Amino acid sequence: MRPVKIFLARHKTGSLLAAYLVVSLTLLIVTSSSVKIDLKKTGTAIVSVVQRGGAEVSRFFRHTVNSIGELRRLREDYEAIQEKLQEYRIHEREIAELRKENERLRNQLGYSEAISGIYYAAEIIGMDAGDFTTGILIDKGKAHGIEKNMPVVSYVEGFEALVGKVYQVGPVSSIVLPLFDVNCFVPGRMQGSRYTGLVNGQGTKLENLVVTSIPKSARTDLKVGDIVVTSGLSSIYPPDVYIGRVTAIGAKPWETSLLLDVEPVVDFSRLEYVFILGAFN
Amino acid sequence: MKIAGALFHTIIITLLAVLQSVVFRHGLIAGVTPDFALVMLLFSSIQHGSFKAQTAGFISGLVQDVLSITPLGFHALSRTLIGFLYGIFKGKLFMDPILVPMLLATFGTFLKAVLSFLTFSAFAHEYAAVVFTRSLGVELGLNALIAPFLFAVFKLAGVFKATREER
Repeated sequence: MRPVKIFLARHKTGSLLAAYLVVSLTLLIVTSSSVKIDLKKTGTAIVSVVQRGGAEVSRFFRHTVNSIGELRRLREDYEAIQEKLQEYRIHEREIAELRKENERLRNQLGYSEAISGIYYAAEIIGMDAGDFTTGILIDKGKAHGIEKNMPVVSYVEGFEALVGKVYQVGPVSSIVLPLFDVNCFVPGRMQGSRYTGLVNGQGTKLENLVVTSIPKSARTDLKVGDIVVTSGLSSIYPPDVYIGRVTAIGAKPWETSLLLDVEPVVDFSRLEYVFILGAFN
Repeated sequence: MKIAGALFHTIIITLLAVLQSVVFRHGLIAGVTPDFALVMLLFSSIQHGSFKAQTAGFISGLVQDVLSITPLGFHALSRTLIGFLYGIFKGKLFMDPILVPMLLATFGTFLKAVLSFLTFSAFAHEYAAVVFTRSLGVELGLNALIAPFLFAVFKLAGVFKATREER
């Protein structure tokens, strides 16, 4: 025992470093393998208290500072809204007619309402604290009925748009895996031509999404501006939730499928509230 | 006193790691947030040496792990190593107020990227492709810019006041 003690006393920095590295690697191996231990949940439970407190303080200061600029913007917005209102009155009549037509066609095709379920409203309280990862922290967790893999949506101009899915659930907060994360794969469908593909992020909210697995033979049926929605071909995401709009169509010569560049409907840099879909048909 | 000082540093670095994700949630420039916690860890390492810095790195990294979608241990590993490596330079650098902090932050950010890339490659390979992107360039610049200011503020606040015994 004495030689060990002497060695540790002489090399205390190196010994401590070795201990930390062993612990880190063990945790990495355990949490990234199929054997899952909920150490992260325990940690999230403790840290979420600080995290929520920080979010509240930060929100208070942000709101105070922004309120002056907001008044000026509100006046400009008011004038712009007046103009928009006139446009919308015209659109309203057109939409009413389109709705009737849509309802009639749905009935003819025997469709029922695609989505019906329970929605949990949640506020975004922070972004992923990690380096190079893109999770979104929300203020709802297990205590509010949130479960892993629940789809997360947002409303953009009255339409339901996909944000991502719940990746990790803590007691009072959760982490959402957003659409633009490289690890997020969503089965998508071209709204017009009905071709299905796989939507995937590129790791940053500043870059568009990509859609793969659409055969090259579909090229003539696709065009820039086409809408991409969820296909419903997975147990996670309900069908017909808006994902984005095609901005470019390309293909690598050596691949059999097209590569579509898609701009997400959701503006992730301005996202503040989301809805977690509890159950859907 | 030594333990209390190290604990204080660890708490500050950990709080910075948590708060930067909350306060700058939409990023500061081009969706990128400077890594305040890393910059503070770097200077803490230079001031106090490997023994304390690696502990601060390990604990703050572990907290980042639970608030992130990365596997547990990912940040703990890289921050421990960064703390240890920078701690080796304790007392060996002439700390001018601007240039050295900027260089330290630039190299520290690059080192973080290299370590992250290696760890991602081994444990979460799908993320390895997003390490060396334009965002890293922006973060390098931001960290280099904030480093002299942060160092001056921390020094002024007495956070890094090293005791004679430590020297």
